[in-house]
Amino acid sequence: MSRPDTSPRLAAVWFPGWAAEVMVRREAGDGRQVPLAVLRANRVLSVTPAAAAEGIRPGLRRREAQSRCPTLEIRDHDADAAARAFEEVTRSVGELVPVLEVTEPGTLTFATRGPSRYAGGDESLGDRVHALAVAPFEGATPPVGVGIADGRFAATVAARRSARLGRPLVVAPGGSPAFLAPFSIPTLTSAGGIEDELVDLLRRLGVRRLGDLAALPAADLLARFGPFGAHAHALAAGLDPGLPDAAPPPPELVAERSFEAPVTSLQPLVFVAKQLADELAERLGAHGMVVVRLVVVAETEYGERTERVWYRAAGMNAVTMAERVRWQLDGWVQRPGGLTGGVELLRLVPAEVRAADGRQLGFWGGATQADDSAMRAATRLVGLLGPEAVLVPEWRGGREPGDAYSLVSAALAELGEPDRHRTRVEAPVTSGPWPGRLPAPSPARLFDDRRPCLVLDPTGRPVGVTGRGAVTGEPTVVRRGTRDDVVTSQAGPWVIEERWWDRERPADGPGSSWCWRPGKPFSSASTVASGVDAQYS
Amino acid sequence: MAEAARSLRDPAALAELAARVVPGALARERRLEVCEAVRDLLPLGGLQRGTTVATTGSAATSLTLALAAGPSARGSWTAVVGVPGIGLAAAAELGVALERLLLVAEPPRRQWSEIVSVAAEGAEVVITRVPSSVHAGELRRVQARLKARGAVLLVVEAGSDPARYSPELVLRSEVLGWEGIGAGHGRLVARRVRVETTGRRIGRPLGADLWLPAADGAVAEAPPPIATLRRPPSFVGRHPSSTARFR
Repeated sequence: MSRPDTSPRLAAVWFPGWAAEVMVRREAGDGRQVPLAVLRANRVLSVTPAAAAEGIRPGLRRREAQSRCPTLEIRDHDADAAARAFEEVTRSVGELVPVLEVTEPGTLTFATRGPSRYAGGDESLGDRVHALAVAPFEGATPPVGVGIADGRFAATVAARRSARLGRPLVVAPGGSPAFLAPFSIPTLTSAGGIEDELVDLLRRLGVRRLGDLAALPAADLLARFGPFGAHAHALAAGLDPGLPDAAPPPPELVAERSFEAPVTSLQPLVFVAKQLADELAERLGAHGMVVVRLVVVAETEYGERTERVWYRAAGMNAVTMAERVRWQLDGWVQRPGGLTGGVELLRLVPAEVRAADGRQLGFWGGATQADDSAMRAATRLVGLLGPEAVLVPEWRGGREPGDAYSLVSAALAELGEPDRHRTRVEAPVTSGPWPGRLPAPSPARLFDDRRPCLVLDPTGRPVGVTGRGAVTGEPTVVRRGTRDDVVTSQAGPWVIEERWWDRERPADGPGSSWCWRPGKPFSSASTVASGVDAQYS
Repeated sequence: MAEAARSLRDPAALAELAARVVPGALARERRLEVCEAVRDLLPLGGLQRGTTVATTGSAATSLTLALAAGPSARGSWTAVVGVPGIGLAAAAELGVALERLLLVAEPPRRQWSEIVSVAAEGAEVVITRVPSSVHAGELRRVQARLKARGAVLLVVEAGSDPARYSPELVLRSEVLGWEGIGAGHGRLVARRVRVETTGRRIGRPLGADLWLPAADGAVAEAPPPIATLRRPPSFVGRHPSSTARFR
């Protein structure tokens, strides 16, 4: 499909640190002076200005953030609260601008063509939107940025700059390329959703400013980095290319439900929304697509109507769609005056889709609903038992059965990012082969502390291993405490050179077999102390 | 993705994937798929959601991991609550996806039921050892929570009296012997295990011989040993020495 070359003129409204702002307001007091950070999956998501002044940036781990600012207050992310609070802002701005697109709680985007004429120009529109955006707040107004420019990326960057300036920022039509040129390359990640890796590579190649990138021939970037390189170039050049692989969806993909008896409470609506979202996600999944722009429409029996556009560059799965519907309905139902009647119609329309890249509900890896709920459960378990008690495996490598994996706290591992999981538990390609390690199959039970045992020969004398790796007798019985196991077959010992301990694996009757090693390999047979490290169970 | 590429080259993996994406909502809702080798041990051919399955015997740990491997490979999370020293290398070899494994240290007795319930919120398979102080009523509440969530509770090493956990199924394992190791030579290669399933709603016990673990550490069905096939029918089941006595 072809795209219009001219970028649409858009306005973006951006609240820096929205989630933190909501937390501060909920806890009352003039909390904005307090360094507070909102965390999701152990990463900083949003910070108050006071915390930002201490060097706390989104993306930091909890520990890093605490080390930068020991007095930092930490809250868990409450997406519902943030979304509900943002609904007030949306409604307020909605008085002037009918069609709004909520990218995420804290960010609004809308086309300025109509509203700008109505308000009498971009500057005047910016001022009025700024005033409306802070109108719902009592007391101190939160920092907010309003940016108007050609294209989504330029408008977002302008809104961020505007938040720092404290006044709306309007980039003249056609001025986006010049406006963007001095911004640094990482802006592409923070405002444009370009992958970290590409940005990092560009930076290392010496491309420091968006202007530098825009000056490169687009064809070369396409050739070298593929469609995402071309996309980054288009962004830097102030165009609004849309997502590189986004397309309008097949028209039949609309999920809607009309209710014969109008529904008056929120709970069943949310339930139906979840069903619709599941249905939509499944049908799109059959096409190999995910929604990036979703229109949610609800109507009451007396013709009241809410219509909102939700945008998410990474795509929405069923859960994220249902979440957005709930946010929207929640705000709508609770608006001043309430609704006059029950809801009669709920409709989800995918307005823009992209190829599913496995980031959403993939077959192989990718964040799934299971990962999501596992992450939440892990967080709760950490809360109940402490971070040391909830563990996930991490590959370490080693010769002994228990050395291959170590356990790290689930609080430190990024459970939300399954792609990193696999690298966590997989041996890196650079790792050595660990010669001498126990080959598969591995024992299913490992003992932290070696369980002492005695290996006896037919005459009842303990069996030892000489310095040359020879056994001093034929292992016949393994004695653990008062229990004697008869060895049915045995082999070894296998000597590990570097540490000079020996490994012998006698197997007792129909039972278990042991990895057995004497504590003092050089000692005489009579003083040998053996122990059981692991057991096949 | 490396795994995807690997799987796409492997016809068996492709076939399995095809089977996985076939719509079959009802059956899939009801049970968690297990791997091929242990399918015959379960009456529904899979782990029924909301049930408790106890394993006992000398291969109980491997057997539990083998049961958890199927759901784990299909994207479910596995939580291990209060089973210290579980062999992670063995788990990986049996097919448990370690990137979706959560290990919880032994919780204080008072918290056990709460911890297992929370773990079941995140994981569809919960492997645990029930502390002796947990009384029947508490256990039933946990089982009800798991039923509501659709998770499966695997009680590992249930001991001589698995009935006290009121499991739907009890899988008893018995090690028949090891392959690959002789008197002073060879190494442990594969273990032949006989598993027998009993349960409330099973008339006749189900059973199978398994390689648990097989040579690659995974689980596989074990055909009857060649030695018994060669033996004349009249000797089957009798020890050679006993026949000698009757001569």
